[in-house]
Amino acid sequence: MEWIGLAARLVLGVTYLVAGVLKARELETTRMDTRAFHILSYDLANIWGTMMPFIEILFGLLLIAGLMTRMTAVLGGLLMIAFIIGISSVWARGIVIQCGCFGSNGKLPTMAAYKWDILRDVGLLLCAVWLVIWPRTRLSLDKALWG
Amino acid sequence: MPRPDASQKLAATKPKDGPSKGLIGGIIAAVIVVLVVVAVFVTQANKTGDFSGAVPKAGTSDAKGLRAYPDVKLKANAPTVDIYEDFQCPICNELEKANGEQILADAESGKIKLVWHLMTFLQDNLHNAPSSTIAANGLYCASDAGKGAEYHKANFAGQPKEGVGYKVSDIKKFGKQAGITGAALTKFNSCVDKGTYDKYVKATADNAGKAGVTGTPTVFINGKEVKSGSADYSTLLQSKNTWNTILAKYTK
Repeated sequence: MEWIGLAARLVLGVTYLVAGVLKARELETTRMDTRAFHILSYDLANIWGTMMPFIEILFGLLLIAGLMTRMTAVLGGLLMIAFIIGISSVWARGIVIQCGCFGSNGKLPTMAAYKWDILRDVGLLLCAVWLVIWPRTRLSLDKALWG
Repeated sequence: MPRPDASQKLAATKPKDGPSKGLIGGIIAAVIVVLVVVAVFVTQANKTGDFSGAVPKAGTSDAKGLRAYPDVKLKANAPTVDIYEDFQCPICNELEKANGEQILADAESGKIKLVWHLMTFLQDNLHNAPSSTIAANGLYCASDAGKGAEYHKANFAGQPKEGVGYKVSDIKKFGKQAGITGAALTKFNSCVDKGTYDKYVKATADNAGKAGVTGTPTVFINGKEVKSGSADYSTLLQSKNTWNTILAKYTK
């Protein structure tokens, strides 16, 4: 059980860390992509787009270290739910996200990828749920510090 | 007889406490402080106001686009066509190849009022700043020399493989190819070197974002967007010389 918890922690943690670093390296694009969801107002979307990568990096580091696992899993799971709602919402409204310029070689952007995005996020959400229910995991700082 | 005191036994079986309330509270407080600082920073950075700085001749003073063929007299009820693009965007080049010629012809004859809004996000996305900025600045410099349309054509024709980006020497080459010569070319080159319109480039890109544009190319005909992902959009980008059909459809 605690080994499964470790796996869940690492899958979710590494994903958050990698996603956060990638987004933090191109904040301008991250802000624009956040605006492209047309959910938040211009300013709010920019604020969220600027902060989100660093929140993701923080969650990633905490999960990988296994520090305050349950609290991080609750917040990380809520963020996943927000992503799933966001993607479903643009999908339903027929909005195509991404400029369609990046490595696309003349192919037009489509909405085909949305179902895979949602599937991926649901999988990650399950990892978070597991950790909320069973936060005690192998090789965690929580265990080393507090038993 | 009183029962034996079990408090020690009970204490021994009680699990150790997790992180203290103080630690959790401290972390939450730290996170909130970071969020507030970022929020203030972003709002400040986005503070708008009237644009102040050098404005290219054919551009609006509030940095909301630059007219192609600014001296052409428009026909009555000529629709306004706003095109948002980034000189580094390969899909914008698809639009240029498929319909650039027809769009420019309509602008030159005064059938449409063509307004370019140059964006620069790809230099962030591709990590090659200031590649998009110098290209946009180049268009503005060329427009001052009366060769905006020619420069636009030359720049797209010389678009490198995605990610390679533009060098200042490329921009100067496009100016020459656009037919800028003599004293005008000297002026153009200095405008490119100095980045005369860099502030205007940034303001234009910011205004595009505020107008809700989140990708390129984005085309508006009389304010109506040819939606990305729609059949019309694909037609415009992939089928040669379909511009006038789409134009007619959106101005009906």
